[in-house]
Amino acid sequence: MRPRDAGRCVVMREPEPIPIHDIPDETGAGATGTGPNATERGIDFLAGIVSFGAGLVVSALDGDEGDDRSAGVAAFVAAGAGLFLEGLRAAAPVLGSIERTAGPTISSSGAAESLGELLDHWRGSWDDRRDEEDQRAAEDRLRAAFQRSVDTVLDQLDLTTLVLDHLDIQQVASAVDIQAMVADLDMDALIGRLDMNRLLDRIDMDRLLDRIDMERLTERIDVQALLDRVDMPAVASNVIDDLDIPQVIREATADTASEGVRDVRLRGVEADRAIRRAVDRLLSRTNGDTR
Amino acid sequence: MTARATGFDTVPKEARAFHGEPAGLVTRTLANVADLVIVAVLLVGGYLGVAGVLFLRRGASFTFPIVSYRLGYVVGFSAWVVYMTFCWRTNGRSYGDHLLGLRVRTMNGTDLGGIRALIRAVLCAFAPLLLAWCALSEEQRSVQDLIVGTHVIYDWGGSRAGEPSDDAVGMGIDVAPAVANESHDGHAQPPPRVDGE
Repeated sequence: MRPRDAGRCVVMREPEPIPIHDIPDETGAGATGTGPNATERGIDFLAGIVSFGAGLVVSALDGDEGDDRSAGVAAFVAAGAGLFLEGLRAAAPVLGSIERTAGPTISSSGAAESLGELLDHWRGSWDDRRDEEDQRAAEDRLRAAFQRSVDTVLDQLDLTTLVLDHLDIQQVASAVDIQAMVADLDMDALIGRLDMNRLLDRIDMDRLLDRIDMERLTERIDVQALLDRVDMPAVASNVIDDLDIPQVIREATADTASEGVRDVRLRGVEADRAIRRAVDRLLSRTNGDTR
Repeated sequence: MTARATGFDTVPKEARAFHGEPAGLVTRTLANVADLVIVAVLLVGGYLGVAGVLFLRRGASFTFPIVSYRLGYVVGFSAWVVYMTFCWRTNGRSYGDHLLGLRVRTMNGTDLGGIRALIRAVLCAFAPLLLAWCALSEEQRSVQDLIVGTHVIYDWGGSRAGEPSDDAVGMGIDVAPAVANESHDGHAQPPPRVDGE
């Protein structure tokens, strides 16, 4: 207060605030007060793409076990991706300055907002896809872990012994109504589906017969009862009729020769054969007759 | 008419190995010798018969008739031809063939007809040494066989299973129709084999 204004009642007014524009931060995040600007979103988008691509390449290369060359390439790709991300991070302030400088011009044309919306859309799609993949991968990992757990548990258990020790098979079997099960079976259809010829081809009849105790089998057969059921006179009549026994007797007795005559005949036949062989040798005749 | 075939092989067991095969020189020669003896016996018997008749007619003046060589040859030749023709025509074999177990058949396996039997008998009587050709012949056929189309086989009697017996046919002991082992439904059944052949 100045001295010449002393003695007067002076009413002091409230000081008016100085109209100072908000100063944007270093990255321009609060320039509009509506979230990250286009530069940040673009950098995040590029970083996401690079991270995803590098992750795929590194995973694929790591899958080749024992391949030093693939491991080297994977390390190189990972290093390159890291370098690129560092570059993006370093370039973010510069790009933010450029946006702040040229931002009003671009904003006035609406291009920045459109580019930002487009980048947001792409990023949203990427996020959705990544969420699905993450969920699927998590499910796969969970399934594999569960499978390994079950296998480990089953390996530790002797199921046969467990069932034999703790399961009363007799009680289970007694609870099963075998008759009902058999009654429900269509045996005709079942037999109809069997190829009996193929079944018989697979049976070793010799081994099967070897296992049959023929003595016991024949002992159990009541031959007398069997014969009682056979019409023996009819069978004998048919046999005699088929064999024609009277004709056989007639033929067998039509040319009865004494032992002496038979001996002469046999000696004559032998002499014939001897002469035949001699003549064949003499004439060098080989007609296959070896008698 | 033919004999009925049986399901049995009624050929004697020791002859089954060569039944039906062509006979050789030895058996055929022996059969001819046996037939020659038989014909000679028949001729002697005939001579004695004629001499007996002459003795009854002449009484004390009887002397045995003298037979000239020409007459004896003609009579013997005729007797041989008649005997062989009759035997081959009726049974397919003479008694000598029967003793040696032989049978004369045509190449078709049938019985000899009268003409064929007569020609064969004449050839055998006229040139018996032509029989020796059967020793050289691959089919064991003599010249007479080659001329009249016959051959001589071993046949000790009986028949193969399912075949009629030649003896039964020749003797006419069975005249059943040739419906061997025919079932009642009219389908011929193969004869059962009982000798393991």
